[in-house]
Amino acid sequence: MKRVLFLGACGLIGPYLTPGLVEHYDLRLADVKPHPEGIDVDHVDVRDYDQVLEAARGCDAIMNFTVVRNDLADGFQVNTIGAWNVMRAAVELGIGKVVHSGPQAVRSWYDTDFDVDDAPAAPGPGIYSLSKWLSAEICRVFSQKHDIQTAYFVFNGLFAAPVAPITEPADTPTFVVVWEDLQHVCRLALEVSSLPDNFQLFNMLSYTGPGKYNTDKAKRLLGFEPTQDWDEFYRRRETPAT
Amino acid sequence: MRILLTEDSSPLGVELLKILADTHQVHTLPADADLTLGDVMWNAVRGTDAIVHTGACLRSVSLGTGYDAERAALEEATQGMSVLLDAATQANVRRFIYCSTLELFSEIPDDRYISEHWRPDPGTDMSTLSRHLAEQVTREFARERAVSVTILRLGRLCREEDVSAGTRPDLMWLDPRDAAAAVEQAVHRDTSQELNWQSRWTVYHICARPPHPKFLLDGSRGIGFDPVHNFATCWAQGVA
Repeated sequence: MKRVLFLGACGLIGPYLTPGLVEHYDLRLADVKPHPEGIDVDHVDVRDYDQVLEAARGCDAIMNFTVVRNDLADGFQVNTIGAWNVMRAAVELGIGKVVHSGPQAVRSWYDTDFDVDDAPAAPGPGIYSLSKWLSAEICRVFSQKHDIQTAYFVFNGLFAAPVAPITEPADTPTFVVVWEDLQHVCRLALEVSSLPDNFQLFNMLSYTGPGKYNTDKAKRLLGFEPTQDWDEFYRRRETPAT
Repeated sequence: MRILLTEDSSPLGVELLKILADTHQVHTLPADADLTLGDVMWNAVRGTDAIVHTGACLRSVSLGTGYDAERAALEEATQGMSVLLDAATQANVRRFIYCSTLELFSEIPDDRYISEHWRPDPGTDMSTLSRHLAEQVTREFARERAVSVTILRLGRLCREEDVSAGTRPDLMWLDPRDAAAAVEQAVHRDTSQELNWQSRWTVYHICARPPHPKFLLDGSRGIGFDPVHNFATCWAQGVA
């Protein structure tokens, strides 16, 4: 069973992602804050290289889901410097697989376009989007120069899957991934043997109905398919569901 | 024009101060300035018409080499650049010149002609990675703020008269006086009011013009760049 360091295990994503991984991998959960369900985690601050290096020792892969969104200093320290620390540790320890996350860096520029898959990024100067976009560049350069296979997932919202069809008029989310799909694609990324150019950035969304963004590349390179037809929950029905 | 020069202690900074001070009011950041502090940067950029960032890490002198120095360079190139540009654009500074490096293409074989249309290929060494990331930060500010950013990817600084006979010439050589001339030319470029953001963010390659160049200078000719120091004696010796 592969040993995987999971940085950011107690954040807004980690606790929802772990259940889909724990049976498949020997997870080393790590964060700077306690797990909301009281699960034991290692205290690892991604801003501290020595802590990242020690936590990654003996691991086959690193998943970095740490994030700070709206604080200038910590945004760059966690999102950008943290990514650099992760990639440096991967190089130093000979770890050949990294799974990383960040916000989509194209959405506002392509809101009036359709079928957007691998568009050039335009994150803008906002702290969150820019600091995370820089992390993607750091991951790309390290992956290509040091033969590390990195899957970098981007999204614009992560939510629980709908449990029943909508009963009031509501638009289908355009760039949102549900937990089950993210769990599924992370497993695929941890198992894939190689990626073109060692680094690929993947749109990650569960609802494809609007046709604005797609996951064609994730399907082509990772074999990703949504775990259910989630658009079904957003159908307009003549007789509202009960 | 009132110009803020980020430092005047590197070889490039020294040369820039000499040339720019002839025709402009130039002030520099204190040697211990922290580019990541918004208040400090706001006070530094107020009343400035243009900012010239030499690309040098201000804290590198005190940190030497190793992890701390690399981290400082990364912080200044990303967080520091963001803070500086945020302060600059809020203070209505319309011109920003960033001195990047042609080392971004050093791994591309010499049997290619390289123009500004080529994708940079930075290594993981911080001297090139930090320049590449800093370029990305400036691009995003130019995309959404009213500022003209000129990226000058400079060659390897080398004074023409310092090259001894028999030295193998370098396709990336650039005399610092020509580098300073390019900066002076870039200072006058202002397209901050143009709606097309791509003209607000422009890249030029800057180096000497050897007889058979690797780096094409057609783009930089557009701002008037015409290198004077082309190491002709060295190239004439036929060592290439």
